[in-house]
Amino acid sequence: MIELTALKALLMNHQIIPIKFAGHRMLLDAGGVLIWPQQDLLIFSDLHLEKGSFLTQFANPLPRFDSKDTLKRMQLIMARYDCGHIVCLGDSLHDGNALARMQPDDLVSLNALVKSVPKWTWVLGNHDPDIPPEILGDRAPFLHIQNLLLVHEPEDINAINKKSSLKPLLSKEASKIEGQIIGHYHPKSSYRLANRKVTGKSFVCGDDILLMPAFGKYTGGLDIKDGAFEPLFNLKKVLVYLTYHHKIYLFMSKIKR
Amino acid sequence: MIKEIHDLLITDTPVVVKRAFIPSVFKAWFAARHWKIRPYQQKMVSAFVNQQSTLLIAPTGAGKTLSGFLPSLIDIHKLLEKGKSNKAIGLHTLYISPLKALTYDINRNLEMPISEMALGMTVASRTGDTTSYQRQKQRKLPPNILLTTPESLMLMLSYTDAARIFANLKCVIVDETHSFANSKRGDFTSLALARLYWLNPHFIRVGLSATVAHPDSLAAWLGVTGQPTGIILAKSRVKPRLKMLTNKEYIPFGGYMAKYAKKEILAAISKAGTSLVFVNTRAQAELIFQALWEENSEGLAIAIYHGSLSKEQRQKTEKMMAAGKLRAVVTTSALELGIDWGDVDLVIQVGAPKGVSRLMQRIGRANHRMDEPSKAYLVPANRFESLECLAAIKAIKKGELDGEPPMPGALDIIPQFIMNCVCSEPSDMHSIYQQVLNASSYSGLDLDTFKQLFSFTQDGGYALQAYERYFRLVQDKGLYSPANKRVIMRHRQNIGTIVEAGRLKVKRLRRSHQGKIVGEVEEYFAQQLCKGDSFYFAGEILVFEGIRDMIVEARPGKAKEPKIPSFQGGQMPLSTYLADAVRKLINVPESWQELPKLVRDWLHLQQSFSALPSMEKLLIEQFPFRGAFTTLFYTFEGRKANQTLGMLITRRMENRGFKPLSFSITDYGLSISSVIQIEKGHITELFTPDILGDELEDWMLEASMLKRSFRQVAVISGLIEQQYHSNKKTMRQVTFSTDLIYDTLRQYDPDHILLKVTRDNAQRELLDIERTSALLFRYCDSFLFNALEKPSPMAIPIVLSVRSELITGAGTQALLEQASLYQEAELMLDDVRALLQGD
Repeated sequence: MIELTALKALLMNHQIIPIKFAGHRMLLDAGGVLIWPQQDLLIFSDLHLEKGSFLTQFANPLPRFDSKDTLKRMQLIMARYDCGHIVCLGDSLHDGNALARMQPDDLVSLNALVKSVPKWTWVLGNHDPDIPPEILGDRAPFLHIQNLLLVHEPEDINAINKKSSLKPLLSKEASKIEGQIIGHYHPKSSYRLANRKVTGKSFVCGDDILLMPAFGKYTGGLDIKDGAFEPLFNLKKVLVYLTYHHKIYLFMSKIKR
Repeated sequence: MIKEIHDLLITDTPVVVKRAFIPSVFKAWFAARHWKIRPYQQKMVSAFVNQQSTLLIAPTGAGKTLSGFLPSLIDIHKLLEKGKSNKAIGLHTLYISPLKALTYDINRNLEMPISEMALGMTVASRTGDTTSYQRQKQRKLPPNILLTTPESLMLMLSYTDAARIFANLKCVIVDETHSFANSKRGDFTSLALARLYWLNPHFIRVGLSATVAHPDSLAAWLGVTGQPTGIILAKSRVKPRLKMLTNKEYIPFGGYMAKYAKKEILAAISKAGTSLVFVNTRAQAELIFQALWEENSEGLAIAIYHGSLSKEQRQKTEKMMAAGKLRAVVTTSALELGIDWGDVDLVIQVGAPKGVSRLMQRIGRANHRMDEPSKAYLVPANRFESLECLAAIKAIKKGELDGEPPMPGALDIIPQFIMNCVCSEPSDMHSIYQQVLNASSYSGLDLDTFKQLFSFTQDGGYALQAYERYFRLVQDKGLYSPANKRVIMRHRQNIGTIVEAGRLKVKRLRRSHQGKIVGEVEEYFAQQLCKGDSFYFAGEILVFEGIRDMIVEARPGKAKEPKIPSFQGGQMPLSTYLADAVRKLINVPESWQELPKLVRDWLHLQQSFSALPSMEKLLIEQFPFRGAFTTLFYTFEGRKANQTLGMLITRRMENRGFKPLSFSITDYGLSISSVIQIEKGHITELFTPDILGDELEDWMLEASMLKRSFRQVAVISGLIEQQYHSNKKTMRQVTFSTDLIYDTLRQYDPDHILLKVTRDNAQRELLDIERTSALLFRYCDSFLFNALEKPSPMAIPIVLSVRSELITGAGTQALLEQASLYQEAELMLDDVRALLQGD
């Protein structure tokens, strides 16, 4: 795990912000990843590998270097925190055929990353319900750690807690789920400064839900004011962490709503 | 369309071999109207008979359009007389107009002579609005005369039967030729002409143009491979009557809206029969329109017209104007070009004229008769602009015009053209290259660059390619054709995105998401809006709701004043000629007598408070402004050079830790705002030719402006589709900006052709490295630095300029840090400590 002095430097430099979520201390990194030190855990979300090559199939002659770039940034962040367990929170591959289009050396780099840590979990998402066996690491529909659910799309926690039929699926250490960390939505937010608007990928943190920004190179964002977020949280009751040019900021009141 | 003409001077007669013969039916028709066939009209007929391409330059009201069509009408008439059928004659004359509306206008106007003389030829127009049924009909049986726009022409050229459609073409008329010079649409049109020439070289080119500064370069643009066409010049002897119109009590120091003079403008409208009120931006149009109605107690019929409004709304205004029901129309450059608006008595130019040639064009809209002087008022929006107005009035009195030298063609259009060629027929690379060279704008294009553009069109042309490439073009024995139908369809949908690049429709909501499209705004503007922001649009205040499916949704608001004062539409660059003229004017106090007293006072005040910008020394002022420090350079080098200088200096400031926040440019100067105060000693390290060093390229590539340029390039070259995924709601969160593609390319394929194209594009439209470096070398040792307590009188109009270039970097981050909950984050440090110690 990372040293305290290094962490302090990151904090003073606005590159990380510590948060408390469902009773746990965690770190949000400006690169768009979440670190859960107590669990030695680092979460990436929505890598969308091979999105570039997916789009080229539709007569868009886009440059296809997005996977390369995403992998490179993953490696840098992993080196920074040196965590033992890496979780990718779904939509890691852009589509079912992504592996076939991936360049061989990119696949090699990806597997090298997986092998570099003791444990790697692919939480499956709507874009990648199946991850081909050529890619190393564990697969899981979700992860249940202590009182938290790590899942791609949000679940109805109350229903899971009530339905005893689902209980066997969950780990035994804690039976009650009190919060979930999700991907899928690619949240972004804007902040109005004096005469400019700053927009960036964002974390949204509520009492029982934490939304991760997308990490993949060619991923856009959905503004947190969008109606799609209404069922998930009340904007007035959440904290929004905005990332901008390798730094992360928390704004309490002045986020334009 | 046709009016009486007197007092014409004809010059530059081309050598004529065959004598032109005007059929009696035409002579009789002219005689019946008491018109005489003018000498230059006769010359146009001769040029046609002798198969000579010709550029006719004449002022508005000279019957230019009839002169352009007369030779074709006569020739088709003769062919019909000889017993040829309409079908056998086929498509004889193609008329290209920069404006859709113009084609309808011409269509109506041609009907008169054709039906009155019973000529029996077929005429049709074809634009983006033509129904697919009519298009099919035109394709099967082309009319003898087809009126179209460059985009529609390019689309027709992409058909597999293009060669058949244009096989009998004898003449192409390019109307408003001057408006094509030095623009991407001009480049696009010259490529379309080159393609036509490739399919069938037996047609002549006829250009119809307003008076321009450099007729020769326009004639070269029109000709095949840059060989200039003949020129026929018709000059008017009368000079327009121009006057400056201001409020006697008060002229503002800054601002561009000229609302202070609304009473005077309304009084002028009230005195004249019909007036055209020209403004420079759409925002100005909206504001002036509002302001005039606030004063309009008489209830004069005043309308608004600009390119952002919906088609229906514009057509309504056009009809009312043609019927003489309006007293005035507030308009932008949308009305500069030749639609016939009936009798306009007065032109009022609100805001600085920006260019002498443009001002002449606008003035020409008044009094569509060559022999009577046009009457026009110039209303400066602030004291600085009155200098520009006076300089322009003086230039027109002297008969001087401004015009920029021709530029090489824009490269991002080439992939569109390549795709267009292969959609029409399988082609080899070299024959397409040959066609591109035949377009005058591209005669200097080197083969290497072309090959790279071709490879981009084919498969993206990336250095690192996956083993399984995706091809847009497939090759068979050296001939290329589109890989599949989707490629063709996508290309055809994207033809002509040049004009529309980066614009969003505006929907005026009645309830929930239902409402009417009322027009368009620039994407750049839409991105700045937050929910609840209000702005002027189509003459009312709208409140922004959100962007949904690439449509800006807004509902009518009740507020009196909009929160967002303006949106940047159709910013016009000041001509370098006029910028120079203004600097000279400032330096010759004797000439100030012609300025309003308020302006003279202002200049004297500047002289005593700071100094007047001189020719010998560059004036630099520095003062605190709006919570930051502003440094102002009075360069008088025009927008592009100031933009370049702004980018370079702020980059250096960023590196040296001055924390620049933004810079804004006007035609006269550059103002930079920064967190740290600039002192005199700093200037030598900031304003120095050093900043043009090796890093220049890198600096340029990182600027947010270059990203905007890339966005345009990406859309035009077909890298991305405009409104990408717009119809798939579920995909909304995954649409991403071209900035990401740009960054990726820079990092992984820095030599990619699109990056070169982006630089070229920025050089064309935004930057002027040559002038900037000349400026740096000339003034780096001779400047006058004035540190002031507050903005000087002359600084006010410049610092109030709304358009500023934001700098993404330490400055913005510093602001964010001030605003964020830094204190709390520091408290959380204890948390971190606890966390690492295992808690």
